[in-house]
Amino acid sequence: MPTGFDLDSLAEELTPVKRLNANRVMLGLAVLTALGSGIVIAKLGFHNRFFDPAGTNPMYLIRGGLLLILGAASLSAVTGMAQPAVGSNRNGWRWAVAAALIVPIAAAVAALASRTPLADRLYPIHGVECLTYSIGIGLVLGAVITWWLRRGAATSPERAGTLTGLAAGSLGTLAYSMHCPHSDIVYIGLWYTLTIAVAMLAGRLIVPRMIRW
Amino acid sequence: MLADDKTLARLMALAQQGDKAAYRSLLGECEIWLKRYYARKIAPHMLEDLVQETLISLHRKRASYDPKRAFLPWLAAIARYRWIDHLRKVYRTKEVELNEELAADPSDPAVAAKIGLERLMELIPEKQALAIKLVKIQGLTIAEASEQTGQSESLVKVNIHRGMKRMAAVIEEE
Repeated sequence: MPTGFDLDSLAEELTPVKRLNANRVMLGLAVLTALGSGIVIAKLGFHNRFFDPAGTNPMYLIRGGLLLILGAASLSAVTGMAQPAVGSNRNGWRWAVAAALIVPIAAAVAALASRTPLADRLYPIHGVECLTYSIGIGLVLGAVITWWLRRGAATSPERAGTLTGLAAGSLGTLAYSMHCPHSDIVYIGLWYTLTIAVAMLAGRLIVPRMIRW
Repeated sequence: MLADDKTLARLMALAQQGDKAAYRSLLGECEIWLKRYYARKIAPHMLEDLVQETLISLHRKRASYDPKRAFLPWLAAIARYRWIDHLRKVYRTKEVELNEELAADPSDPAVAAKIGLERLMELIPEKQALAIKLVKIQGLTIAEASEQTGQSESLVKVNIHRGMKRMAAVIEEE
């Protein structure tokens, strides 16, 4: 039982507080993602097939768009979780995940149907690089989201942890994808999905214990 | 009688700016509300402790309240979190048996009905809100509500049930 508790002394301890502003932290995370992209481009180079008169590759646009939507939806959901409220719909991330799941499913179908040996389509050296850079950037983003959740009052720590991993993993992968030279659905379906899944699992296992209050 | 949600939201907004008098009033109102909220959820000898713990959480997490939104659902979310944490501790220490009946229904419709009712009504379909207003608030019988709304009696019952369930879910939702 809390000792020496009474409402008067609690009121006496009151100091002004700055209200949490989710928009500001989302903007900060967007800037960090852009910074992460900048580091990837500076170190590894930029594969501009997004808008290239010599040969725009639609897969670059599709993968970038999916990662952006997945990252934005999960980020919006997880930052909002710091402020419990009625009427705020935070389920958009579920639809974004459902849309993004088309990629690994299509990759599995393509791998099964293709005559090209699977080993020739996986590029493990690039895949590990993807995993390393994406998770490295995701770690920074995840740390910021965790800090934000600790300031707030997340009432579902497990879900908040999973969403932290999803947002950090998606945005980390988006940052790395500026360099990624592969447009093969099998490669993207395996490595991108694996990266985001690892980030989600890490978020689910690590974040809840850090944000309990 | 408890202050309405708008008054509580205003007091909390003032408290966030450092107004101690407003905060003291708010804490008093919250204490009463929390005692009612927890009354059917935990053993009576634990009630005071849990109310105090929740008020301390309210104090620590006051920056997370957004004055543009209803206050009581925010308080209910804090209270529910503390309650679940309390049950977890009790279960772990095995001081008392976890009461299955208490653990089964965290979204008590009776409490749901008290929380920012008007705001909640805006979040459910119009027909469900109308059925709840007529029967649960104005006290009409099912037959009278059926006549007034043009819905069949069974539909009025279904709309009340679904509406209450939806309001409870919306309170617990984050």
